[in-house]
Amino acid sequence: MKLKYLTEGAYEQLYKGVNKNLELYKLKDSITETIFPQGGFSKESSVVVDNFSLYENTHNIEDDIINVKNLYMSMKKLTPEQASNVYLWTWLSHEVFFNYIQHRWNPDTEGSIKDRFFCDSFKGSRIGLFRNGISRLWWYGYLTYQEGRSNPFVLTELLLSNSDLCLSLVERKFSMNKNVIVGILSAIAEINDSIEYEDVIMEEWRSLAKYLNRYGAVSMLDFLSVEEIQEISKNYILDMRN
Amino acid sequence: MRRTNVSFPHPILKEGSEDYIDCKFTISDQEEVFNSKKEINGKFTLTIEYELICFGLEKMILDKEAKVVLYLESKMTNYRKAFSFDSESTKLELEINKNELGDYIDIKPFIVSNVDKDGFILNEHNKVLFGSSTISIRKGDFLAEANGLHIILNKFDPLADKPSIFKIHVDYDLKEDYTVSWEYDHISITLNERLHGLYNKISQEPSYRIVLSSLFVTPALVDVLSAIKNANEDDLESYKTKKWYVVLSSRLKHLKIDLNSTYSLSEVANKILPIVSTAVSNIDYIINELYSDKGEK
Repeated sequence: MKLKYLTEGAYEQLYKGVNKNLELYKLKDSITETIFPQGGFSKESSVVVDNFSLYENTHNIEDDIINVKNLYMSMKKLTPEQASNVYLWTWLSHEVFFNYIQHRWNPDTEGSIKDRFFCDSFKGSRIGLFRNGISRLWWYGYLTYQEGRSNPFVLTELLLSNSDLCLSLVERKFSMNKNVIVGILSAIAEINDSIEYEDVIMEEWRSLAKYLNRYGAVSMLDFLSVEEIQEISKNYILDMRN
Repeated sequence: MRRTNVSFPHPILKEGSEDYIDCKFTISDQEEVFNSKKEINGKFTLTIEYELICFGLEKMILDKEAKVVLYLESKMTNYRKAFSFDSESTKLELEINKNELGDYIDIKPFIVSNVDKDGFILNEHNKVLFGSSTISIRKGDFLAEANGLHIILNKFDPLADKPSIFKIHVDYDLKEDYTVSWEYDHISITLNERLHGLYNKISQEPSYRIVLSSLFVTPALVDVLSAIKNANEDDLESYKTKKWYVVLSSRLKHLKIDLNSTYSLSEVANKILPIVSTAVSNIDYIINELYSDKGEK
């Protein structure tokens, strides 16, 4: 599949027209042909990815994990720059995976449609990339995929196993730092897998995420290795228990 | 990495801080770094030097207890990476893949601790503030911070005439004559159906197109300049990710215009857009042509 992206004018027209087009977003087919009957709303990129499909009729976590694996493996060659392109994800959401987003998120208000079909990260915030129904799958894969492991998605599975854990991590300032995300998840996995300890609970990972946010204000987390982040995270959780 | 109002538990050497006495940490200025930029085989290289006046920190760097680090960030592409200087060199050549970056990059220079250390005391520390208290630092802790750089990478020419930073759209439901927004990469001028029809009709004639363009573009540009002038820190951070801002700030810099000490934004707008200046200075001629040729407004 050759990837396309929306033109800026088309993006703006769609985004500003969401309230007016609420009913169209409930239809079964993509709405772009209705809104742009003369076409010209997208352009072709030079990026070709493998064809793939997403489980549509589902709301459960297991299928989210499968969808991350399918999408990330097909689009693994995208660079973070390309994967930060809001026009690409908005095109995929409106043209290729319109039905998937409808089924997965059932967005029916202006806010929820803007969250899931668009990629509202223009104010310099990357949160929009984690809200869009399709880009979130790529970024979860990118941040947690570990090349060379027998199961390279083991941390993806942990991240998506609990929506609160996922939000606690990806909505922090350090969320675009793969080392930090892998370090934190590795610490949680290490504790969970050890017979010596109880599993890490919600209050602990929430507190850990806040702690690392404060840590990052006076210290350069990017300067630390995955192993060092893992050690800091593990020690913090175990210290909390004492 | 934007860090404001951070209260450090240990001394930090930075502009405006009194934690160190008679010390300084600076890096090459924006122009030097910009001029050092080379593009080879899909990679950008930038050369940056630092100056450190602080014997205690210099010794820590030579002893590998601290490192001078440049933190690079491109918000447009979510690129972020820390580059370290060699402990015996004050010069670093950065090499970055072009396809990982957007139109600009922010560079923040730091000295960070390379070790966990108890009893972090240097002769240069301000004794009034820190006395003889025992200070501990961890690996990664910021010890010094210099002013950052905002480098335009020239994927497009920011000084070239760029009418493309403006886009004119139609909105058939728009009640006002026109609206202006600048939340995306372009300054977007949306016309209602009537005005857009008029615009399309008259813009068939190239010489009139200049006037039409200036009628919409100049007021829009004044709005945008006013927004920049009155922007708070968060607004500016957001604007920096937009193509229109990169182009305008570059042009302002080139023209040596400081918006904060400028009275007339219309005058600035006309200086920024040569095509508009030309149109405005020729407006009598063009309007005469418009009336005499077409016999109508």
